[in-house]
Amino acid sequence: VTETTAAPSSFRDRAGQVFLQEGRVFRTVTTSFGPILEMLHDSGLYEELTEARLLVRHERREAADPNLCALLEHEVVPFISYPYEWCFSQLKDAALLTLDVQRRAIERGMSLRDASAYNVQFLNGRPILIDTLSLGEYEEGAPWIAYGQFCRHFLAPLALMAFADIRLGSALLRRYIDGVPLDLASALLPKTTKLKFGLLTHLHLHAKADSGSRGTGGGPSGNGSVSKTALLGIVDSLRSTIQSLTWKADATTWANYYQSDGDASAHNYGEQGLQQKEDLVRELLRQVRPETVWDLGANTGRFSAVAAEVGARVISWDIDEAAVERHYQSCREREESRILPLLQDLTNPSPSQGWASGERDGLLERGGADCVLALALIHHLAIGNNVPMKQIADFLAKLAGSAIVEFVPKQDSQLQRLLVHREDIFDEYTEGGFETAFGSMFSIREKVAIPSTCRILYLLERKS
Amino acid sequence: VSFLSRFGSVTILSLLFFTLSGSAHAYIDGGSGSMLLQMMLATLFGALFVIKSAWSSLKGLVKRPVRIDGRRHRGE
Repeated sequence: VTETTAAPSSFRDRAGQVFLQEGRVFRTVTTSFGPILEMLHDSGLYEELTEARLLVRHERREAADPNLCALLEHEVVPFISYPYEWCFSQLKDAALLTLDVQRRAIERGMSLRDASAYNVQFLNGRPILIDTLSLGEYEEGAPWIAYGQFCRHFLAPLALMAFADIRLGSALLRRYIDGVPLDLASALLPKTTKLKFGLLTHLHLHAKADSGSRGTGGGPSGNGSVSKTALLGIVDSLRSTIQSLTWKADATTWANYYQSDGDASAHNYGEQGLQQKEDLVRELLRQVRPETVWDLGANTGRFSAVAAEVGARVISWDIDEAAVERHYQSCREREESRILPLLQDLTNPSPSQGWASGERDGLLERGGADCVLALALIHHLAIGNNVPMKQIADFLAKLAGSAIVEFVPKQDSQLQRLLVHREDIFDEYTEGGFETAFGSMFSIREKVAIPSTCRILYLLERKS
Repeated sequence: VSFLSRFGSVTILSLLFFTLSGSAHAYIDGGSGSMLLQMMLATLFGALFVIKSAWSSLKGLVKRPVRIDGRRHRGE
């Protein structure tokens, strides 16, 4: 195997690097890290973690480079998502996974060398650790080197989401690539959170300790020691602290979109109308037979489920925290492995960021679905965000080869609401204007009126 | 909260940072504050963990199902 593209996100650790080659994922392991790899297997930890689906599996391959002790081929995570795209429960599940791995590791004489949220990915609906080399040797008496990082990546954002404002999680994680600074979290959290023992110690005191030690020379550890029992105690305390954090996805406009029974005004469909729309979407999806679908504005996932039923792996994007939270919870309950709900503001998509703007890929850099679903979405972009229709067509064409798009005309009461407090400057926003704009990028394969509404469903195929 | 300000004082820290012994393969900065906090809370968390474990095994013992002949199942 020859190394081709080094993943730009794997430069930090000198123990090895991740390479991508024709859809396969390889990891080099340097000679100095060889004994640790042996220990991972000999201790039984690898077996235990992979059996429990807490760590990705790997196979050993022949390494051509004599400086390498091993070349590992990992199972592939089909879509890489980032913590600032996760809802509350996704971040919480990833945190609990990390602590579960750390507890099992300590018991087998190993310890996590880092606790970055970016080391966790969602595979078949469940979180899993993808960084095999983040497991190192546990040294008796040593504190957990990744304790601070764990608190910044998981505890601080979860506490802020639970006690201050749900939107702070995504906003701050996107800004701070190595986790939310603890002094910032401590300042933003309500004072009453100091009455909670876990948050008092792991967050507020921790922030004080950080600021107190700044400028004293940053050596990693002093001569004090932390016994194994104490370390397990710290991990257990973090676990109960994280476990106690909850956020109830209360009624937001969007998460209740389909739940307002019989209230046709909410989305202009009665249950029967929705059922008919679902049948039409299913029929169109069957024509496309996509392997991967991106559902844009997926809400709580009614149509994502249709795509999954047709056999696609689905990424379900939505801007609303409550909608993504409800969708994730329902997928988790149903053990739905083909759908991944994620948070995304399409008017300001995840950028390429991190070191040299290459560490974390932007939304478009991770694109490439077979089919995109844009149901009851276009009017929010065209009218809610003033995006010219042609630009929306260009955007969708970048994402997928096929698109199933719902056009909501101006006479629709939902659209009228968008225009209540603004001048109608959208002359091109007509059925004809839609077809002209999208016609430059796509061929119209199907055009169906949605029964008992004035809306139209299009099946579009990108022109080559 | 005077404990907090004293907690962060340079005096205590300078006492604790004589010897530095990072983990063998560490590549992230553990942060002095995070390391220090763990050392300071180690006894407390260790003790709490021992009590909690003892309590849950005690509860397990009480809840352990009793067979008709009055003997307890093994390994439950």
